[in-house]
Amino acid sequence: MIRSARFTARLMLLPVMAMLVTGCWNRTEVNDLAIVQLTSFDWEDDQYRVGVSFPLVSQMSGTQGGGGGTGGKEGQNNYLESAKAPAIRDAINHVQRKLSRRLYFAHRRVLLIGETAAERGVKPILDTLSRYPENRISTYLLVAKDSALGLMQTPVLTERVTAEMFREILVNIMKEPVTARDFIHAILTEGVDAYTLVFKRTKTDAPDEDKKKADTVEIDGLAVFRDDRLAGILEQPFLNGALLALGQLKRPVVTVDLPEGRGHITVQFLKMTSRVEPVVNGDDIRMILTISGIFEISSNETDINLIHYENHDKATKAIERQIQKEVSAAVGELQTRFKADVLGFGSSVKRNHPGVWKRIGDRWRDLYPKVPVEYRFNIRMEHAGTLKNPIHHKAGEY
Amino acid sequence: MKTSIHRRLEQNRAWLEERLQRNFDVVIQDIEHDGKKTAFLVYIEGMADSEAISDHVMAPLLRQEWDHISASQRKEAEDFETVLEAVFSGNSAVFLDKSDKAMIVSVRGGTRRGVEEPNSEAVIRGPREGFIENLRTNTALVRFKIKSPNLKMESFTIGTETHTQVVLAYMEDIVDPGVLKEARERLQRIHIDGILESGYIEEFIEDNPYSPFPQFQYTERPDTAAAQLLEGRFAVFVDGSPFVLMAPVTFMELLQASEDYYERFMIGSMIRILRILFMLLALYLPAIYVAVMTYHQDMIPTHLLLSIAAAREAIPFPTIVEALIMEVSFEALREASIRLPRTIGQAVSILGALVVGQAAVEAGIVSAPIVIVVSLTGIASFTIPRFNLAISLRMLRFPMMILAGVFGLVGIVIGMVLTVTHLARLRSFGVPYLAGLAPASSKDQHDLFIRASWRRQLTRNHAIAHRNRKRMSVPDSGPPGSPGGSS
Repeated sequence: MIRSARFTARLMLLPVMAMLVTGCWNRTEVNDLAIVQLTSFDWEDDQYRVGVSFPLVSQMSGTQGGGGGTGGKEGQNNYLESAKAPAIRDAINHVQRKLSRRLYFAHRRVLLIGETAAERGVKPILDTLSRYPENRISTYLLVAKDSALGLMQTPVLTERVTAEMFREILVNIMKEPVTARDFIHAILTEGVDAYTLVFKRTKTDAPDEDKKKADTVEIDGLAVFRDDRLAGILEQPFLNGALLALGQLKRPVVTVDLPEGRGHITVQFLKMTSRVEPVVNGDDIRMILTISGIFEISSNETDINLIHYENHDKATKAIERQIQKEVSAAVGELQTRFKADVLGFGSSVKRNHPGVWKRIGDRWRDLYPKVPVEYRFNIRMEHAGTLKNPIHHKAGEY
Repeated sequence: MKTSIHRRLEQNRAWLEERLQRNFDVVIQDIEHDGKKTAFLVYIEGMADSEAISDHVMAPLLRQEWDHISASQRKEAEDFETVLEAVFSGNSAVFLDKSDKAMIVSVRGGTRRGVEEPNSEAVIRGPREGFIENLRTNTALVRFKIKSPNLKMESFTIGTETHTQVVLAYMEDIVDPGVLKEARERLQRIHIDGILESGYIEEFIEDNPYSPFPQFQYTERPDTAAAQLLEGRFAVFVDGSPFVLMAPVTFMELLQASEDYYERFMIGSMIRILRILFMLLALYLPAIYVAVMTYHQDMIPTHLLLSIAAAREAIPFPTIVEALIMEVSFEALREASIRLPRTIGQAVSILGALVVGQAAVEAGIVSAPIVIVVSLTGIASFTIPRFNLAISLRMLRFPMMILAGVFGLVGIVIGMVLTVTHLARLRSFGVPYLAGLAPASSKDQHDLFIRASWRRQLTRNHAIAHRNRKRMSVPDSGPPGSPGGSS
């Protein structure tokens, strides 16, 4: 019995010891947390303006309070606050001072960086971010056209919280949306430059009356970085091509005009990957960009029957031409206008020919714009469609 | 210390009258012949079968045909102590003039509950008979199942006042002799005035009375008792109790129900896995909820967190207090409804469900998620087939919740480590409580997490049936009629 009493005493000691050994007693009720969903970083008047957005949970649930009906009024579920300070941490602290709830960043989905702040360089932002485990570096990182705070304020109607809007759009479009981690990785890796999507605030396109137009956000191009600074924004017309080259487009759709068939064919890729391969011949460097994939016909407005092998081949060639047109335009822009190696040509050279890279690594920034790129395709049609013929074909006509 | 029986009838009668005075249920019946008292008999009204007495004892006595006293059992007693014990067991004692011996005639009777469906262990598929308060009936119910001379039943009398008959049953060829010897010794060591339920015996002979975990399995079902005897366990029958104790027991076995073996094995296995999962929920779910909600909000998916945060917005209590309030009220509700007559019991559950559940949530005193957690925990604890294990897990979840409320997940881990180390140390009659898991045994896996097909259950539990592990001598012969046999 004495033995068991001593054992019990030892057991009691265990929690006491844990109490002494562990750090602060950080019990927090969810009622005391501001569950931040979005943060914005802007640069104005030589200071950082940091904005946070968190949902007002009391107005979110259907069970609490005046039953049923979602808030109704646009954007009222989100609470926004911002503050300015020369240092980012200070700005966050200023925001915190104005709030009754502790800012809780673990559930932040999206970081918005304003154009000007991005042009100054994102290193200070990423540094602040990566020092606390509560800040997740798996947060998606986006660049906002003009002001990030303004973009963050967009009241969206389709999602409960604005951050969801960004996140869902990203996830729908890109295979692997750019996270803060990818960004840091790109900055730290030699021979790759960082990129991410640009969003802007806009109005819906539907009704004529201006009042009825709802606020929304949309993609406005690809933000291209050189080191940690924004080199520029690749506009909408090149976006598709750039994402194709990056292999980042989720289920890409390509439409080609077939003049001989008097109409368009739209194909949907079920799978698409892109690969960059360097061909080094002395100091002569060439890149081969291979795009492989499987596609199906999603619409055929022409009178060409794609069941036939020669038509099949014709369509595939047309699609290759179309993709090459888009991709080469985008790659050309990246090489000459922004001089940003977003596709990682440099790192592919470094990986495949480390010796060569040792020689040319320092000069890569100058060499890069002049590297010729060759396009290769490895795409095939999976099936021509569930209908035997296009519907406007007569039965029996081949 | 024994009082021997006198040759003179009057003296015996006087002695008995004095000893049994102020006992209205004792009947001393004189037999007179030719105006002379030739014999008397003693029995207890209600315990003895009065019809049997008048037909088979009184009638021959009146006819002076001593040898015709017919009863299934007859024996002679030389002292009063034996007589009294027999009489209080429901027998009748016949004293004859000029004889220094009394004749004990077995006329046990009296009304006892009949064999009914066991209340605490209902099954969908399986035998419907259950043990009753009568020891003889209970032993017979098991004997009906195991018709073998290897099934031994040793009798003990425990209780200085109650003289309760206790039977130690076991399969002679399977049980571990060491365990048996230990059980016998522990039973003999009990000195108490009375044994009214098998629970008394359980507490006296269990290995670690200070453990929250039960070290005996009890059952109301003869089929369960028979199954355990065949596994090499011993059973303790206590007169007056419909619950039969069985040991050695393991933790995993307390999660098994008799139906696991009666339903087809896939269903039995699936239900068993479900039960293990819910056993863990019963113990840890409220603690995990408390820990995650107060320390580790980052572990919850965002939308779930927002929903819970919305529900918790107006709640005045911290999560741990809220959880404790609800868990305690649930325990109280359960306790309140158990003992009430069925009709009132329903009223209590309605009151509990409506008042505690709905009204408290609507009034914003507790949040809906905690009600969900508590209900889920309640359901989980009801999935555990053995009430004694269920109740110890229910008890343990309170310290778990407090640990979680103070230290978060670290607290739960501390609690888990303490529980598991305790379980690993625990022994039931020398058999490790976690047998099969710790020490891990590959040979017992066919009846642990899953219940393998009976075709595969070639051996008994290795931890328990040391001596005789073979259950079947013929290995799996394949399904009947399947190709591949010699044809």
